[in-house]
Amino acid sequence: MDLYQEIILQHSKFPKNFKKLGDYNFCSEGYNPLCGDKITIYVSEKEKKVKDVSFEGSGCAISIASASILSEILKEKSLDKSKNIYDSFLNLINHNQSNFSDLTEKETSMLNAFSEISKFPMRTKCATLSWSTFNAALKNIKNFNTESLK
Amino acid sequence: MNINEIKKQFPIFEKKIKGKQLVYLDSANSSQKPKPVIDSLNQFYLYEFANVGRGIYQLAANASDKYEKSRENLKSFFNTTKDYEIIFTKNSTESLNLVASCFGEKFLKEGDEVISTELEHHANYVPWHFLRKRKKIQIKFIPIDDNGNLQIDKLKDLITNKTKMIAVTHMSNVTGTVVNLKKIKEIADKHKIPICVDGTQGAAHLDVSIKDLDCDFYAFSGHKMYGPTGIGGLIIKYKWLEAFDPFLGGGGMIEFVSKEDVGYAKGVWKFEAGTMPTAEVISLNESIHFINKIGKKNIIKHEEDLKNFAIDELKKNNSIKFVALPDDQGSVFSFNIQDIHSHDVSTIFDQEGVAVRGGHHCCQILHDRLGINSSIRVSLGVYNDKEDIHILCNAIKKCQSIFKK
Repeated sequence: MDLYQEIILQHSKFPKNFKKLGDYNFCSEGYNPLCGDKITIYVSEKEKKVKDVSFEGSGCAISIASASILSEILKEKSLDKSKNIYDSFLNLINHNQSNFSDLTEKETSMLNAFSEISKFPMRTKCATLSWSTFNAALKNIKNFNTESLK
Repeated sequence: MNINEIKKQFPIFEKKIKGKQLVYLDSANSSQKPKPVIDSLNQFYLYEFANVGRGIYQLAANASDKYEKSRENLKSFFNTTKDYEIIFTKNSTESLNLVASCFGEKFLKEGDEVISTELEHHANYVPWHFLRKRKKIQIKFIPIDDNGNLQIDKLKDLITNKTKMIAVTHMSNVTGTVVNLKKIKEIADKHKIPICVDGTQGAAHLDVSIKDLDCDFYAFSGHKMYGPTGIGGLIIKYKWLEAFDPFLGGGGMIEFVSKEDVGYAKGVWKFEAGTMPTAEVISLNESIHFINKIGKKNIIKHEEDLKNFAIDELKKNNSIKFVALPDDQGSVFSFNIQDIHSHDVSTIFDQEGVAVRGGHHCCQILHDRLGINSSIRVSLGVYNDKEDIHILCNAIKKCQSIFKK
C-alpha cells in the first residue's frame, strides 16, 4: 500500500522534535474532533525566522509523521518561506500537485511522501493538522479545530 | 438459517470494493438494507404516494392506513402493552431529545439530578447536558468496571431525593455490554424514578419485550434495523404522552388554532408535527417483516455465535487488545492493534474491502474511562458469516505487515 511510505512509517514510530520547547513564543493546540487527534505545536520565532519548532500530542501515523516532518523542515526557515511551504504542502495534499521550490532534495522527498494522501479524502486532515496548527500558532490562535473551517 | 440466501437479499453485497467483496462489519453504525425494504420505498413513491392524515381521497386514506399499520406492527414487534404508544421520530437521537426536552421543561428544576452511565452514546448524554446548562440540573454516572460491565449495585448510592430520571442504554455500541435493565428497574421502582432507555442497539440486536422491561421510554432507530434512514421512534408510556407538552409545533399536531390560542391534538399526533417521513415509516414496516420472517431469536443466536467465533479468532493474535469483554455482550466488540492507530487500521482495512468504524464511536466518556483515545469496532449483522471474520483476521495481519509489528 503506497500511502504508508517508509519515510512516513519511520517518522511515526520515531518522531523528531517530539517535546515541548523550553523557549517558545508561539504555541497552539490543534484538534480534529472527528478522530480525536491532538497536536500541540511550539514555535520559537526570532526576527521573522523560525528558530526552532517542536510538537507534542497523539494521533495516527499520518498526523504524527506529518508533524515530525514539519518540525524538521521548518526549522531555520523564514516566516515567508514557511508560508510558501505550507501552501505548497496543501496543494500536494488536496490536489496531488508537487511544486516545492528552494528545498533540498531530502526535504522535498519527505514532503512528497504524502503525495498518495489525495487519494484518501477521509485522511487529508490527518496530514494537514500539524501544518494548520503551526499556522494558527503564528497568528496567536491558541486552539485550532479542523471542523471550524467549514 | 441460510446466510448465503439472506445475503442475496442485500443488493449491496453484489458490489465489489476495490475489486474485493464487501465485508461489512459496521452494522452498529447503520445496517445494510434488504431488497424488500428498498422496493417498498419505490413502490410507495411510484404508485401509492399521498400525505397521511390530511386528504380524504383514496390514496391518502390508503397511505394513512399503511402508516398506522406500521405503528401497530412495531408495537407487536416490541411487545408493548396498552400502556404504551409509539411516536415516530427521525431516529433515536431525536427520540431522546424529545424525552429530555419535554421531561426537563416540565418536571426538572435547579438542583435536580439525572443518572446516566459511563457507557452512554452521546445521544443519551448531550440532551441531558442541555438541561444541565439550561436548568442547572446535575448529571451523575453509574460507573463501569474494567471489563465494561455496568456496576448497577452502585446505583443505590447515586440516588437521592433529587434524582428525577435514569437515562441508560440497553446495549453499548462500543463494548457490546448488555445492561440488566430489570435490575435497574427494581432499584428505580423503589424510588419511583422513571427510566429512559437508549434502545438504538438493543432494538436491532436483542430480544426486546417492553412489557417485561416496563421502562418509561425506549428509543430506537429504523436504519439500524435493516430499515431506511430518517425514521425511528420513541416507545413511551401513555401517562408521559399525556403529561408532556408538544416537542415541535406545526401542522398535524393541533386540535384548533385561533389568534388567541392553540389546542393540541391528542395521543401520538401531538408529537408528529409537519409531514412525517411517510415512505420511510411504511418501509420500516417491511424491515420488521424481514426480521420476523427470519426470526429475531434466530438472528440473535447467529450474531452471538459469530461474535464468539470472532473473539476467539482475534484472541489468537497477541497484538490485539480488546477495549472490554463484558460478561453479557451483544454482537459488538472493539479493539486496538498494538501501536497502530485505529484510523490507520481503518484505512488499511478499507483496501481489503473490510468496513469497520475507527474512532471513539460517539462515546468519549467511555473511551476516557478506559484510558484510550480511539478503537476499532466490529459490529455484526444478520448477513455476516465466518468468511467475513477470516477476511478481517487477514486484514489485521496486513496492518501488522505494513507497520512491521
